[in-house]
Amino acid sequence: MSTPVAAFSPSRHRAYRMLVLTELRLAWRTPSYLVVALGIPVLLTVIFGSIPSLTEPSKTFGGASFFTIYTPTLMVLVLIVLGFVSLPASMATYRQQGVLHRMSTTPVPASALLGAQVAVNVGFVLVSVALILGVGAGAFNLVLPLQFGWLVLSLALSVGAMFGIGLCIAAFAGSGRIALAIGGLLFYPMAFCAGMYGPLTVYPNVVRQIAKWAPTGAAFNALHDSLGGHFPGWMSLGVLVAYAVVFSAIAVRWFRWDVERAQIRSGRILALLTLTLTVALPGDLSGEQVTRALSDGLSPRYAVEPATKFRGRLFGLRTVPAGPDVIVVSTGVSGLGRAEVRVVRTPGDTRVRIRSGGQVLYSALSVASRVRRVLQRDLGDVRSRPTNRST
Amino acid sequence: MSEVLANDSPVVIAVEHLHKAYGATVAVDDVSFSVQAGEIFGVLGRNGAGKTTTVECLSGLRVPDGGCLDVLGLDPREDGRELHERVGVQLQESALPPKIRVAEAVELYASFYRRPADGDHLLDVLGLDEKRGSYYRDLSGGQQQRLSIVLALIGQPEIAILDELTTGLDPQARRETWELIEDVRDSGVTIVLVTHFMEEAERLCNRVALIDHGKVIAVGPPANLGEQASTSKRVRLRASDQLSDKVLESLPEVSAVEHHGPDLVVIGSGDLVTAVVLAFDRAGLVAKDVRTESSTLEDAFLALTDAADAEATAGGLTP
Repeated sequence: MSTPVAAFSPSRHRAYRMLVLTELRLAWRTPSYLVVALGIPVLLTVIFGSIPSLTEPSKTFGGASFFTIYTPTLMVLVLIVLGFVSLPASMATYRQQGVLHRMSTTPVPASALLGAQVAVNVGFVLVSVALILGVGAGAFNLVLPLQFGWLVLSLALSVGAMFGIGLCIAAFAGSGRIALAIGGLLFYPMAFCAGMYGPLTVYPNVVRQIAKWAPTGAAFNALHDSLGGHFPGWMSLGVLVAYAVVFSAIAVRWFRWDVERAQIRSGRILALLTLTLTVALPGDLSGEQVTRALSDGLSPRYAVEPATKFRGRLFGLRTVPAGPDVIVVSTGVSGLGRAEVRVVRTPGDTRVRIRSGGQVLYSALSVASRVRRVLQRDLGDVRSRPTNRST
Repeated sequence: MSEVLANDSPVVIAVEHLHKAYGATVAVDDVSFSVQAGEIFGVLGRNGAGKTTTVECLSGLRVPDGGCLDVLGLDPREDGRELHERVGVQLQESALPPKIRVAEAVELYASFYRRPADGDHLLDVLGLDEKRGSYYRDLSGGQQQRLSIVLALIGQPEIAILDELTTGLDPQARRETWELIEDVRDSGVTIVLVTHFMEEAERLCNRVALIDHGKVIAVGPPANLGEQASTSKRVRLRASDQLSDKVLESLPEVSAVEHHGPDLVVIGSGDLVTAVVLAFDRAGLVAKDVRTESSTLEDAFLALTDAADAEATAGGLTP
């Protein structure tokens, strides 16, 4: 695909306007992110604002009230939901569904859709921040000696850092589900660093020292200082700039518009977490022979079953048998130890590839090595040797 | 491959020695053909033959590893944007967000082009008028396909590339789609139709390119390909009375006559049915239940791909 450098003609403006409008409509029709990103922070503002003890200055928080110290946390929470979860999940889903592919055949590049997504999500961030501050000030006398200039700068850098990381997730996740999983994995530690589980001042100093290097911790500190009327400090701003630059650069470099290449990439990352053993066995062995050897040779707590694979891309996703040469070995009870055994016949001998992983590494190692031992004992001969090279 | 053009219309797509590999997998080995203005050109082949990769290279979605491409005087590698203004593409595995409404999708895609067509009119023509307010996910497979034709035509393209358009449609919807494609051609749009349905290619295409294992194995009008594969036609019929075999065998189109019980099977080439029926008519007899078991494009396809397979095996390249 040609590098998308938009020549701004009047019609191009119309295309971008329509894309933003469409994204707004679609967000409105699937409002789960909006509820979390706009509704919950406002709701929490109302709840905390209504509890008198939380709006009074407290020694625990260095003379500030819980309410004022929780306000920047809510802002960072909005950034996490929109930047780490909503943006990457919808981009990866668009790619997986072929929406980006479809757009690539038009004069407007698919990157314009990405731009529209970012614009819409940044818009939601601004609305949400305005609501938090507006409701706090209007209804609960949240008096903040805020420095407007520093607040805008801190917010802009926070958006840059969080959305940069979000685009990176979108670049590497092969599907919307993987993007959601990564976002979910990041959510709790990131929210913790922004003080969602209590202001970090109540935690030991070492926790605070670590948190200030996290993107959400730095964003919290910058926003907190700006709302308190102070200069945010070079440390917080520098950390945010570094995250924004590094992750945006990675995203721009590695983003793939078509799903095959994205999945290959995501497969390579998963392969790092996967253990592969290859056994060479003499003679031509059928999948049935290997299945029988495994059923007989492994202890009864392992289930040996024919593998299934997914068929169909978008609609009617179903599983079909993967054929006799692909076998799944799993520990029946926990299902934790699980290996895929694939029989590949080459002239002269048979190679059996055992892949396991994606779970607790110990069980992966254990089930794969047991499968290998049984195959070598029952189907190999004295000359058989394991190979390290997986093909 | 020296290629027979259908007429003297200008060539709008020229593909020469296109080559594209993904890692060790060669998707397109050596593909050459040209498409003339105003025709429906079929790209025909089995699944995995390299059809989609070929049209993706034509559409500027993939960068070929080798060969020359010329589409409307543009190089898809260089002039992607201008190409996309003038070439409408409908590809497999393309979709729209589930919750976009039909009219919104059409309006959105219309905004991408300099001179968009009248979206309402296109929706009318493709029978989606009543579905304007429906979500994309609520459309039937046939309706989704028709919407994707609308989107491929919304930019008023000179060429429309349609990939596996009727796959997954029921026979009724498929026939309706064929009529639509002919209407689009009649409105002056050149069409490149990728398909693995022989019937579809036979019915619609002025010319087809048969692709197998990433190579073009034949190009020409569907009827000519039957001859190229040197397969013969068979006409099976029942006559009201016996006509001497000699009379039939004397016809230039006929090569052999067989009797299968009450049925007469005439084997030959050319316009066999007409020749045989006329012969019966001249003798004052009536030929009933005339069925052609003629060598179809499908036979031609099988014969040609088998030949290609045999050649590959002989050369030591097992497929």
